[in-house]
Amino acid sequence: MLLIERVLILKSLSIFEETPEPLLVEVAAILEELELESGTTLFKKGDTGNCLYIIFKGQVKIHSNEHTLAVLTENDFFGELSLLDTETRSASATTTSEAILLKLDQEPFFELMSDRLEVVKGILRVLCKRLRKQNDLNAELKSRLQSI
Amino acid sequence: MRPSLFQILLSELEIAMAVTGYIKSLKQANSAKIVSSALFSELKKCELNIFYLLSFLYARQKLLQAYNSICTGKKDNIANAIETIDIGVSKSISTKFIPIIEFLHYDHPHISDLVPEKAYIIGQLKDIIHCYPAKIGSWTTATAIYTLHQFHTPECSTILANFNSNGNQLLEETRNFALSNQT
Repeated sequence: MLLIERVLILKSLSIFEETPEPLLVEVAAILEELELESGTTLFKKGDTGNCLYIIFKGQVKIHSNEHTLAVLTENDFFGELSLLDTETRSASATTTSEAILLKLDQEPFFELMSDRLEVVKGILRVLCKRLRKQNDLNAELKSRLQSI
Repeated sequence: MRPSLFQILLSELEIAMAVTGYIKSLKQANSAKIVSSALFSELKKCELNIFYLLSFLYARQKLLQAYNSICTGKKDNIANAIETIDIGVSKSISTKFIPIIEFLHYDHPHISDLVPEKAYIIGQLKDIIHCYPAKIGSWTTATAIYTLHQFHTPECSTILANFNSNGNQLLEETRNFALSNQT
């Protein structure tokens, strides 16, 4: 997979929407490409999460034991927040077909962020946007509650 | 002799105007969508550079405040920022810079709906590629090269074969891929 194609995929992720593409070239360079058989367990519920996965080809099932929560396909991604903080996984992920995934590990990503302030700024902008949205939503809910 | 700040400003404006022209000409070309998007980012970078340069030549605080107002994305704030430039900057600059700001932050109803011909798109991409590295960055150039891979003409092969990536890994890889698609 070409570097330029990896960058285009990264740019489509909300967490990188504010990061300039020339910097995403550096993020793309640390992505690990995984070719997986069907039925491969990526992680189990309760595991410590410290990476982001992007599906380039194939399907991944997000499940809790036998109960399927979602089926993710090409260009879907999961574990976005695990890239930034290390939390336990709330569900398991297993491939349901042969799949090619891109994996972005926390450690090399943090190393890159320590060198590239612009990457951090881009992510901060996204997180601030989300926080503002959430605050607006909370305020709206509060005012609705008060009017009841 | 080192160019003066004013000369640097003028050349940055020239680049911004050229980039605006490329965006207008490729806007309707679906095959070149990633190039248009990269050119928009390139133009935003030019806008920031121009504001920085202006802030050394004119009222610094007012201009940086104007840039921050533009960044809010609110129409009123953008209009105020444009007014600041209109009043506080030499006409030779403001008449070139204001249309660029308007182009970046307002809708573009004046852009033609006509989808450009393949030969025209290739010509524009060739011009963009030739602007590297002096006027256009590596990302935009890479998108132009990548877009060429879908066209199979002797001209595309020549553009790609003659392109010098200056050892840039992204450009080298993209060029090799596009070139391998030509045969």
